[in-house]
Amino acid sequence: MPDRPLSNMVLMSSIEKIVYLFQHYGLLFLQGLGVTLLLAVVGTGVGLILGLLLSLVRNLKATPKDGKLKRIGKKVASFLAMCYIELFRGTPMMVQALIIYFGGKMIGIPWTYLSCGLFVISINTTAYMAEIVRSGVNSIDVGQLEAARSLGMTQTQTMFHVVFPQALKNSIPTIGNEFIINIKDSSVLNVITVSELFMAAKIASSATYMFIEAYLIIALIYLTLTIVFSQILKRVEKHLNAPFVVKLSHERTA
Amino acid sequence: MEQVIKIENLSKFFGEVCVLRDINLTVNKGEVVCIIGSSGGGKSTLLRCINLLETPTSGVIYIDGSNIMDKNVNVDQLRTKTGMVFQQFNLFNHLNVLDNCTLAQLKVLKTEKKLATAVAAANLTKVGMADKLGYKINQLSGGQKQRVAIARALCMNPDVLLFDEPTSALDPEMVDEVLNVIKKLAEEGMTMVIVTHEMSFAKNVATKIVFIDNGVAEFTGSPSEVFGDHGNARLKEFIK
Repeated sequence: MPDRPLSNMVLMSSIEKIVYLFQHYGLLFLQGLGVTLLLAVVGTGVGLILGLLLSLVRNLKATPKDGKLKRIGKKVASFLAMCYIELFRGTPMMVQALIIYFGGKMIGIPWTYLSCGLFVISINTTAYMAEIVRSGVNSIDVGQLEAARSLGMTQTQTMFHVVFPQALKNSIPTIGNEFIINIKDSSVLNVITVSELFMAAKIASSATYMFIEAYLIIALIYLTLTIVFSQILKRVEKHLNAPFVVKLSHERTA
Repeated sequence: MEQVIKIENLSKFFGEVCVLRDINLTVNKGEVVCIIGSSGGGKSTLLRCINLLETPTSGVIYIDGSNIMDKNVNVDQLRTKTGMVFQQFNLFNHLNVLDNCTLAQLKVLKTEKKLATAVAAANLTKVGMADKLGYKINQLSGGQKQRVAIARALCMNPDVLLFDEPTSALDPEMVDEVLNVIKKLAEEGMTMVIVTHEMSFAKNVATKIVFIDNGVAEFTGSPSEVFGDHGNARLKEFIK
């Protein structure tokens, strides 16, 4: 299709407009797709690691052996962790992004839109992950914990070598779901002009007035991403739940 | 005779409820002490106090001569000396049979991997599970699980093994394979404290039997004393 001047746009069909957008803004969409995926991957990954640690703090419980100071310290830490979780789950990420970006600038943090976006989505996901991990941990039978402690493992060793591996495996569906949510929700970071997929559509549409077409394109991209990743997730779950069969040579039958 | 465990005036309250009252018990090296009594009587709580899975309310417990109620005692180190076998096996579900037996060796005793594997294999052979090293836990029967659990505890080279109703969660036909392993350990001179409802097993294997009723050690004696002629009506009622 030959390029037509923008003044003729009114006469173009939707199909033509989509083709036009791809020709002129294809690279922008591609870059947006990359940034969206980067946000989702980093946000979910960092969020999981920090969420794991946060859930440890949230679960701190004073034992009779602790001194008074240690007991108070544990209670305060657990309370603060709870505040963090409530705060970040109870406010929209869009609002968090604006406050954190401008607040950070005010105290002199030299971040770019993208680095701030990565920071916001990570610490936001941390709050959700902490709760996911916590419910995963709570689902582990207390006998697992007692067995590990009875063998002389410390509380920390027990958590990292016995409880977390099982809790995380049980939580894989919810963790994966969080990743898919992040693919979509990273779009709100356009408020601090992170150049992710939604931002790409915003730029392309306001330059060409092809609103429906631009947003249709990214809707299709988002949908493709979420469908592909939820399928991958289903495969992983199936694989993990498959009964494990060991074949020892002497057990093989003809 | 060398005392492995010495319990003096042990009491345990859960809130207002008294679960154990004034328990005194000595376990010598090589002894097999069976704790019997009706359910809810405090048998398991007594056992769990010995490795501090439960914190006693009052009283003193000595393991190998050192007071474990002392605030400065390293509980984790103590627990490597007191292996425990649970009613529900509590094997680590995410690890295979071999790794169940090596994990604590590697992380707690800091044993070299090669040696830990050798120790695990030796103990698994002892309980007759040497051909199942690579198996996942959910591929095992109850009796096999409990035998792996015993091997796992043995791998820490404990001074005493604590059994909390080791056969109560098993199908009847699997009880014997576990009891036979315990018998074998007794013959090898392993010091053991066993909470059990298997009366004939207690009669045959125990060197000492403690009858606990409503949190009180009602009667302590050799199997012949416990199953013989004595004046304790409550015990007679229980073993009838």
